[in-house]
Amino acid sequence: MSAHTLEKHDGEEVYFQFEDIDQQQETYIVGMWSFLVTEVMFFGAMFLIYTLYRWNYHIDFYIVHKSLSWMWGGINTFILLVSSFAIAAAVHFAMKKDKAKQLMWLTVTQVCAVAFLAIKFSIEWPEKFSHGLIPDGAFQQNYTAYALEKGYGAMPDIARIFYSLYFTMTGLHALHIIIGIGIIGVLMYKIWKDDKIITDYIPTEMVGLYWHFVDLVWIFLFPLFYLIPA
Amino acid sequence: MSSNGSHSHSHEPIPMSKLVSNMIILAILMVLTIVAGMLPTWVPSLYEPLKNAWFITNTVAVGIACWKAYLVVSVFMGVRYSTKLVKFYAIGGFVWFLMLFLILFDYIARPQGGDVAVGWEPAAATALQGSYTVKEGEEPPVVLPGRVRYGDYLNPEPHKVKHKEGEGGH
Amino acid sequence: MSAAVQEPPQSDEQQPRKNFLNADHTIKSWLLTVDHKRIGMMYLLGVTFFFFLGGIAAAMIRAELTSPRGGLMSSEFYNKTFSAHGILMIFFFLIPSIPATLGNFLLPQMIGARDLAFPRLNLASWYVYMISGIIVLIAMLTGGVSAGWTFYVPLSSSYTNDQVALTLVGLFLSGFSSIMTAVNFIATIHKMRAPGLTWFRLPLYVWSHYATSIIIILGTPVVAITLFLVVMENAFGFAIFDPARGGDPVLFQHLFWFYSHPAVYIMVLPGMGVISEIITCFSRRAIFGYKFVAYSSMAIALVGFLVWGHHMYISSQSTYLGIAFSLLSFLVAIPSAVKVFNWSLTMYKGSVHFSTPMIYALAFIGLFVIGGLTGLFLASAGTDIHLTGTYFIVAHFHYVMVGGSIVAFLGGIHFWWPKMTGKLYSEYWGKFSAIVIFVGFNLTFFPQFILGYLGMPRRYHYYDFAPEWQFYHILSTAGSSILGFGFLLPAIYLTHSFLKGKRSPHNPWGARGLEWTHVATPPITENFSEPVVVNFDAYAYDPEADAIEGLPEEEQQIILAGGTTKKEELL
Repeated sequence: MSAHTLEKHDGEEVYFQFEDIDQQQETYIVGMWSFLVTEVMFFGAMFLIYTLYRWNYHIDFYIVHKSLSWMWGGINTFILLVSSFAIAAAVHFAMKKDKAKQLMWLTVTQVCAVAFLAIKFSIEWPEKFSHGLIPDGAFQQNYTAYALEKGYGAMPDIARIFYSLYFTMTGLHALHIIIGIGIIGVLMYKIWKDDKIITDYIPTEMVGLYWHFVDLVWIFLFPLFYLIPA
Repeated sequence: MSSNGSHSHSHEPIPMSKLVSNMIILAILMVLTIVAGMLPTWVPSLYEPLKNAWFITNTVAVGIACWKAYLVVSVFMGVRYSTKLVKFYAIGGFVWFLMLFLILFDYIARPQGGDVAVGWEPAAATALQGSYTVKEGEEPPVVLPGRVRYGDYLNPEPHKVKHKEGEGGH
Repeated sequence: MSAAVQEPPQSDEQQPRKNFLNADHTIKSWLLTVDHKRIGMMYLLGVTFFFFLGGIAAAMIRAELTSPRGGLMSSEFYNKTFSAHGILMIFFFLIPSIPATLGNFLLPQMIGARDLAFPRLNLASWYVYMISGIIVLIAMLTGGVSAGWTFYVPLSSSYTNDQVALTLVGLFLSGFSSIMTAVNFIATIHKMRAPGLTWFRLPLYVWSHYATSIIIILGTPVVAITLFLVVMENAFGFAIFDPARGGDPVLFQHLFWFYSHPAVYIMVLPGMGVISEIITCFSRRAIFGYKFVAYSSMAIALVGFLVWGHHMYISSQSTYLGIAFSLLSFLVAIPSAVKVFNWSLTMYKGSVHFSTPMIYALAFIGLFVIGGLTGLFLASAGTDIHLTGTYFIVAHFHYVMVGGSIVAFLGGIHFWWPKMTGKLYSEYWGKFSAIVIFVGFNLTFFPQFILGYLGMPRRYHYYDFAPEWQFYHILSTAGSSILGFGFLLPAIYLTHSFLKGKRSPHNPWGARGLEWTHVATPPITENFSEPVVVNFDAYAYDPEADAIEGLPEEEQQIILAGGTTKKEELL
């Protein structure tokens, strides 16, 4: 539709359906926040399931959690915090229209995101896979062997629930990171090319909001999975 | 066609100093949560008097996580500097997230032990065999589906993990 | 932006030469459109398609139940049939029906915007909807689902050998489609209103869509993740809800109903918005108690989230919680009743015209009242233990869903059909089919209340333990044939009207909404040729002025001067 294109209004480029740049910016931010509300509820349901089972099977959860490395979890937390800071800085420089610094901080975010995934997929998960700790049909047998090897173990059924939750929640979180890497990559390319869809700082700010949310989820996942008290 | 024509959304970037100090506080809190979480393992003697107060360690962990979340939302996501509408959605999302936890009331309120209305007693563990009779002064074993407490099924050293009787699911 | 109110851009007889329908004729221009009106039309085709598929399944169910022995289908096939009926009707018809078709089409016009806030997201939501629908259809053709639309575990996880996982993937995706629409609506309603169009000048239709969108963004993600976890259980053997693996199946029910109870308000709230528009227009009166109706939409949306447990009285849910849920469920009846009373009082002393949309609106009120009141039987934990899982519940939710949502949907389609297509339909056939639907509907579902009270369980395909129920089943099946015929009629005469109908005047009903007074019929692509400023309230109808409208000028003068004529006594 030719009508649905960028138009000049009041000296700034805004989309067809908006009256001025203020309205466009505010609408995008409201839309993004209502989307984040759905994301909160999306992960919220998982946190609820986690809470119930941990409350019910607290001791077993404590025993199983010892197979997770708090150190790698902590490093990943720090990496995500840095990436969150980096994208906040990118928004800061986007508002100042400093393209070089904006791209630099977005690159820092990307590096952190890739590092996070590298730790997750090349160190943390393979360690579980090597013991066959995937909650499938063979789990009971594998877990029994693993528990005998370690000298401690929980009820295999509960361990299976724990690993199901662990893999689903960290997996969905990792999926959000992968999507984030894609979006930030596209954003960087468009900024670099001075694409016309980058009208102002709002695209960077929206991606930033998404990225902070991903960080937020991890802030809760980390103590809940890696630091269970006895 | 903005209905509230005022420039309510801030075009001023959040000062870099704010972002940096926020980052530092977040890093400190992260170290704090690790220390609080791991201290019982590292220095067990310190926690000896608190070993049954599991809720303290849990509260500390979740409390710090909430604090960190607040810092990320208010500063990094800029809610502190945003319009009322954005604040409304940000707070509303988290309030509704807490409402989801009303589901837990079911699990608190489910009748336990002798606290059962007549006619609604859970079946005894051996009810299906039909051979169980309750002796005087003895409570029948209770099976609550989905809430079965497992013992130290696979723990070769049971003394390492204390498993109290009658904990009632907590 | 001009400060004055614009006059309607077209006189009554003219239609714009270039409108959104004939702006471009290629298929590509439809498939890649970001125009909210075209996307609304595409949604209309989509939901109609799924509605008739679901209807075929319903006809098969009714045919099976004519005999106490249920000889036409095997038990498994019957399970798959009613599951298909539920899944198609709820997820692919009722939930998107009004918001995604009429809502998409009208929302920007009602608030004075050129389009929704995110037009490309809007188009994406249609594609996601169609793709998810096709995935579910593939799943049904390659094995089907026998777990029912509720997918209770472990029936849908450990004890299934059919296409539950694929179906759930489809439903997961369709959830994203509604979320996209809801995010779009929320941003649009908050930020794109015309200058002067304050919240309390909005049509109630917009309020009800706002409430619906709030429910969608808060509820849909919860059910999406829950169904996703069942997929993980099915496909990879994860253990979350399966009692055989230490999980809690009641937790699934909690999470499922946390969304699925508010989901019935997703289905019926937009319908209530449609009814508010129709009743005011055909009574020629402003709505009675505007703020009460507006707030009642929000109250339904919020309190509706607190009543999910009334679906679970006979699960192992705590009886104490059951008492609380029972009380809260009664509370939801209050805002619903506020609406019904206000609609009734709007008609009082109005100048009521029995046009086709008005007949649907009146049918809605009657059927919704029956559906709502029988809901109270089910909300009270005591009677629910007897009635739950019987045909009483089937009848109850069909009274609310078919009698509420579908009747409102049809009413809305008839009301805005001239706006959407620029064509008139035959008023005779419109009224006829509305009455056929009303009669067929009651004949189908009223006997089911009696059946349920007598104890006929739902989801059974035989009842040879009580063959005396056959009478009611035959009544119900006969009614469903009439109902099916009634649904077929609009499909035929509306298609005919679209292709060969008479051109509609600019505002055939004399309605006062922005979409009628300030937008051409059919609309141009950008809706408003000039920005609009609103300095008037919604529903600026005047029954007295409208009642004397057709009279000769002399008589009008006499009436206005306080004298009487024969006509005025009718007021």
